[in-house]
Amino acid sequence: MLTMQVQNVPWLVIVITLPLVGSLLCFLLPQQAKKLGLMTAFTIAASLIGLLFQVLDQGAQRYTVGGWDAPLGINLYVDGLSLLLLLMTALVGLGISVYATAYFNRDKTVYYWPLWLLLWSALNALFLSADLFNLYVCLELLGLSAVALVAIAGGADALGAAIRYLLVSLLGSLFYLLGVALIYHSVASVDIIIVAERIDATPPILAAMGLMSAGLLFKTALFPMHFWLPPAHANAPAPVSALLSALVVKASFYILLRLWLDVFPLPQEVLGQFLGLLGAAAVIWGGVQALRQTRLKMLIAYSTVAQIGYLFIAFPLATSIAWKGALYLLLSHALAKSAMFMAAGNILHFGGHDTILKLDRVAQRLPLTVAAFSLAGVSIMGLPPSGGFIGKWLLLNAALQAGEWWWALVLIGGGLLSAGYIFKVVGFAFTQTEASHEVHHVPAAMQWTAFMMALAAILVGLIAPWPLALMDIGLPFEMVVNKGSNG
Amino acid sequence: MSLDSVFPLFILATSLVPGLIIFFLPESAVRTRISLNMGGALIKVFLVGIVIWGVFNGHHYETRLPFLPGLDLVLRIGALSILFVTLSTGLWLVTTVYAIGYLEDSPHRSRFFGFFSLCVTATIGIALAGNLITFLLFYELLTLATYPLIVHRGTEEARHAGRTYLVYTIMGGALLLIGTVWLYGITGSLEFVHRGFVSAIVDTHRSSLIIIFVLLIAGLGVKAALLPFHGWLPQAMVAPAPVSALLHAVAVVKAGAFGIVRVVHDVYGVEVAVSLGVTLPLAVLAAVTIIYGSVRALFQDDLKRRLAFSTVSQVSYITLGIAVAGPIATIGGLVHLVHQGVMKITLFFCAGNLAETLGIHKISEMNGVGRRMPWTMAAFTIGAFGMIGAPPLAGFVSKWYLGLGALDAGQDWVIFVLAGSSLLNAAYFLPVLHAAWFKEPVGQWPHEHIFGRMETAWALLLPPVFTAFLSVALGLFASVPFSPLEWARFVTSLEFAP
Amino acid sequence: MSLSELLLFFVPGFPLLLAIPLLHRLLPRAEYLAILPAAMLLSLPENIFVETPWLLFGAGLGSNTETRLLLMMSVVLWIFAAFMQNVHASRNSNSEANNYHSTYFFLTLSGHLGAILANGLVGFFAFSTLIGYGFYGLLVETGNDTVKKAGRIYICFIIVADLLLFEAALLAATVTDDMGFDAVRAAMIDSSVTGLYMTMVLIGFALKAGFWPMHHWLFLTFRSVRPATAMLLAGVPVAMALLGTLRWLPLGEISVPGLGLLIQGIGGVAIMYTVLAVLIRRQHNHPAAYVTLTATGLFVIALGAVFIEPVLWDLYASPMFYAIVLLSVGLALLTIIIRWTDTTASNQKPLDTVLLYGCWSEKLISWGRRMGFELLPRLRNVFLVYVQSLWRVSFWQKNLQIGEYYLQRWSLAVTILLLIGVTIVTSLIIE
Repeated sequence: MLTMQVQNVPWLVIVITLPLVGSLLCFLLPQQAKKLGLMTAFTIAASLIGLLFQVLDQGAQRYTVGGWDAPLGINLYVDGLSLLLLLMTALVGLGISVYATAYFNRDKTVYYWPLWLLLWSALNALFLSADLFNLYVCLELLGLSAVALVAIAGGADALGAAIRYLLVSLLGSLFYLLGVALIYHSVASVDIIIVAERIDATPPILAAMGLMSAGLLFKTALFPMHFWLPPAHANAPAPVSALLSALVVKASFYILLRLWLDVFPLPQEVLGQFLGLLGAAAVIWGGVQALRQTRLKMLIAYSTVAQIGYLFIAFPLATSIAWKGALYLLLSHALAKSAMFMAAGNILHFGGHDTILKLDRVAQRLPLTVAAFSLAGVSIMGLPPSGGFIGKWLLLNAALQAGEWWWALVLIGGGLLSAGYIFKVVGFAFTQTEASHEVHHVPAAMQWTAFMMALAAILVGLIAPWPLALMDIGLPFEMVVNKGSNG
Repeated sequence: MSLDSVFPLFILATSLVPGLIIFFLPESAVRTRISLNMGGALIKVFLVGIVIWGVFNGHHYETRLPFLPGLDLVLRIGALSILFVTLSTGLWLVTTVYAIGYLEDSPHRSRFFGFFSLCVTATIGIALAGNLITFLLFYELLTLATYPLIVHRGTEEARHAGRTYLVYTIMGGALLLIGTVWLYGITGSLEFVHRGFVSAIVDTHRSSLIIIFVLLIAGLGVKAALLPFHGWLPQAMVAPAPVSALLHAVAVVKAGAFGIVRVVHDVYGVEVAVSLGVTLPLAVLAAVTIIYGSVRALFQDDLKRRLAFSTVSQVSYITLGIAVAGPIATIGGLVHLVHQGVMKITLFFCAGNLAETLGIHKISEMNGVGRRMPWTMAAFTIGAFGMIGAPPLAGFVSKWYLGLGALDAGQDWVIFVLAGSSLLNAAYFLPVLHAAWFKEPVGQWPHEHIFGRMETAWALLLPPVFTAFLSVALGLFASVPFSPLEWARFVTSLEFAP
Repeated sequence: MSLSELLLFFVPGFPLLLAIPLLHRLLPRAEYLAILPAAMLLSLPENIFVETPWLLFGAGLGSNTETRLLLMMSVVLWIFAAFMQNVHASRNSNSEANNYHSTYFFLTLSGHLGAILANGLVGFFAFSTLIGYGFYGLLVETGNDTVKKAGRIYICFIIVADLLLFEAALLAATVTDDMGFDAVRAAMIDSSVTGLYMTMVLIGFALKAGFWPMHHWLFLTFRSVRPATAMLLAGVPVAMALLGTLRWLPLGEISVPGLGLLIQGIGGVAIMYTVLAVLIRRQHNHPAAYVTLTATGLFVIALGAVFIEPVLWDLYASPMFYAIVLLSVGLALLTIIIRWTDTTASNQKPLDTVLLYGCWSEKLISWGRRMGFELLPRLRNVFLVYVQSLWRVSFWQKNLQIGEYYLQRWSLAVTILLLIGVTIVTSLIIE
């Protein structure tokens, strides 16, 4: 009986509205913001578990809001891919929430929680949207709340980065919107399924595809349009950096992936190779730049640039294994990167600076943080046993099976570069220097959250069959053959 | 889930669980730490004993966990695994005792012993791996677990050595990964099978198989200190003596050599490898490494560096034995895996004793040490003579089989390599012995610790004496049933077609 | 295992055990005790054999008439040596040095007894190695420079000899599984490797015996080592090496005229050399050395004769054997007598090489040392300097910095954005 009841609850809607409500409450009751925020985080996680059970039992779900079906109303759709990303968001979001309760002081807390929950809601909605305009709305909301969160830190660096981020976000979304408009003009609908059926390779559609892709690539910070990411991610407060690197960039990637799989007429071999090429360049460039950095958070931000490049290597390969590999990398990167930024936040809080060369004074006194950073680093490097290794393995497999061995070389080269910059930092944990005098105590919540996130990144590598099976629900990677045939 | 299928996990857990617990212990919890360490080591010895008895009685121990689509994580206890597992377990126990004595009152002991246990876990995992992906997993884990041990002291030198180590081993790991993925792509399986699993596709994928072999051997050769990947080993000598002992006798180099054995026998199969023509270049490379390591060892004044180059040379004996690809030579290579481990660990323990008790790091400071520390130097003498190959020590047995195997397989040039190497071994070990026993000490010892009436602490003295005794026993009683020699014979009989 | 077989084990085993300083300090008169099992073995008239397949590779020990004779000789020799050692010890009271002297004493004793009793190739080889290193200890223990030089040469020869004997044993192992002396000799009668085997064995044992032209260490040793050790010199290393040739080689079975003539020639030259040396140098060296060299020369001539005419072996077997015994005992006596009568023996002038090429071994060693420690490292340094100059990081650093800077300019960014859009569209059109 209970399971029956659980199955019938519209978890899709709950998952979107719960954070919205929470955000509103936090805004209205600033004194209770911390407690409310944390409670909301836990309830969102719980409702996602409900959604998980529902999808496991009943397969991919489609929900029509208000009973009005497309092309008039809004549809929500969840399949394995969306579910995976939702779960990832929930897990990382939970960790970030716990971390943020200990991180922010009184005044900043008031700003943080409403914005963070708004962002979470936009993220959830984005993963569940089934039409293009809805995606635009969520994307815009996401961008705006992210910009606001970056600006919380205050100070010239943060504000400058936030303004740049704002301009980038608006530009990207603008391009995307233009594309949607063009598509709507040609196809008379924005629902993904309907668009996929009616789409044709006419010039307006092609232009739309170009615009949308360019905009989304801009927002995903693919090389060479990544310049805005490092300052934004490095100058934001630690929990914000974590959620930016782990979740926000992935959202635009998700949209691009959906478009690629469901909407764009195939085949796209040249485009795929082009994207792969940009991805490879991102891997190399990001890795090399990360090696050069003197500040820890900048290093981690450039590492994000490199890891995003990995994701695009799946495009030229375009097999189910390749997509799964990219998504596994995405998942483990989210966990590992959030752990890294949290660790960096701890170090910053402890010593007041994050200059890498002076890290040794700090690292000795924070073994848990260093352990978190190292474990996260293991996943970023793609060493077993970690989620990063699983993703790397799958991509390598796909590359060698397709006979395109140069992507394999890029993957390996990226791994070596990441080993370089990870161990550059970790090496400082083992020196003989005395600890510095001015230290601020780091709350246990912050240290343990970072560690748990990193541990999750490792554990995700040991349970690989389950997420992989999860991704297959709803067969998102089966590219429909008869796309673009009828009008 | 029968007991048989969980047993390998138990063996892993006996070092993993204490290690993880030790990480969280405060520095002052000395007794807890010691009891965890020793307890884990003793239980593991006990478990390995049970397993050997079980295998002898026909039990089949295998753990299978789903890991990747189409690939499982497999831990299997077969004949070859037992050889390496026994070596690792026994020597871990001895090294734990030594490390407890060596690091008394050092900082960061919890961290050290935590990573120490992880290192052993990784080694046992490598020994028990039942397919190439499990092997790869534990191989990389070994890299990650040994790095903190090398940089433990925290000096600039140690960090530099650690960096060099990482560069080499991570690149080696990358090569191994590419080789593995490629192999999986063309064969669809990575399970270790007696006499290899690639024979079906030899004709169609000849060049791919050759390149994969090169990649795999290059990746493994980094840890096995094959030329030109041996550069990290002498630099890693800045680590504390228990780490050098562990690295050079048990964990890292042997893991690399063991991997080469696995690749040649259980992935490719000897006949396939010979038909691909890859064994002769490997044998030549091993031979060059043997001579090169010995020559470099002649010029070193630092004792541990000399021993490091000696290791570079000696581990390649194993590779040479495997690459000569005859049954007797394979026996020689496999048995040398065990014998060299025992002898080398003796030498490193003694070097550590000299450093700890008298502050001696260089050979030029070793004049007359034999009078001050007779038991240590006696153990060192036995180890050194074993390396030279004097009968009836363990080294003689393995050199005998290697030489005989080479003659048997028609590779007569190997005899010259072995002879030259023995000469060089004598040239760099005998002066050390001569200086220690027959020369007069020059002034004061650099930095002396008095340990009461004994020449040095109990925990520092017992391990080298024990392993020296073991070297003699392994040589003298080599033909006893259940000796490493007989076990190596058994393993070889499985790998070669009757 | 019967008591007598156990006794066989004790004969070499007991001295080996006593070599541990802790143990022989406990027992009084340890040196004499060590010889006791051997003496006890002598009292047993019958032939005893013991095979131990689980020991090493199946080595065995055995005693028959021949070995009993040798054993008797050795017992006598070592009792005298022990006696002289005790006399020497009571004169010099440096107890520490004496302790280690006892260790080497016991090691050499054990090796000697074991080599006599050994029944197979591997066992003999093992004990012969023990003799070599133990005797080196006895040599260098004395401490003066001459004997150190002698020791250096000796150890080099020992190492090479051991290597050659090891290879010879390997060759034997390829033709036969059973490594007992009889089996090896039988297998060597007609096999492809006989010639190589015999050459290696001969050279190896010649090195161990200090036979001409590798006699230099022998001469040095006789002069400068203490009496006890000098006495053992002929009886232990030299005699055992000669015994080795008798045991390892398939004498009397095969005929190798060429080799036989060569050996005879060398033996003859050795004797001539000795005569010349005596005449030219006029007893500058210890007479025992010359006697040894002559004796071994004669031995070798006999050996050569056997190679030429196998039948002669039946004739020569026992005399050669007795010759070994005689050599040991006789030279021991000679040494003692000379030492006691010539108390100024320690003031000898340093030996300048007899007939020039006696120092060839030293020249070889010093050349090797020069090459190894100077030439090769210098070459390596040059190479390393060259390689280092290829690594320059600063160039890369600067360019990367510039690249990242330019990417951040808005104009460039927007241009790139539009370009990418165009590229995407073009690529889609191309499809």
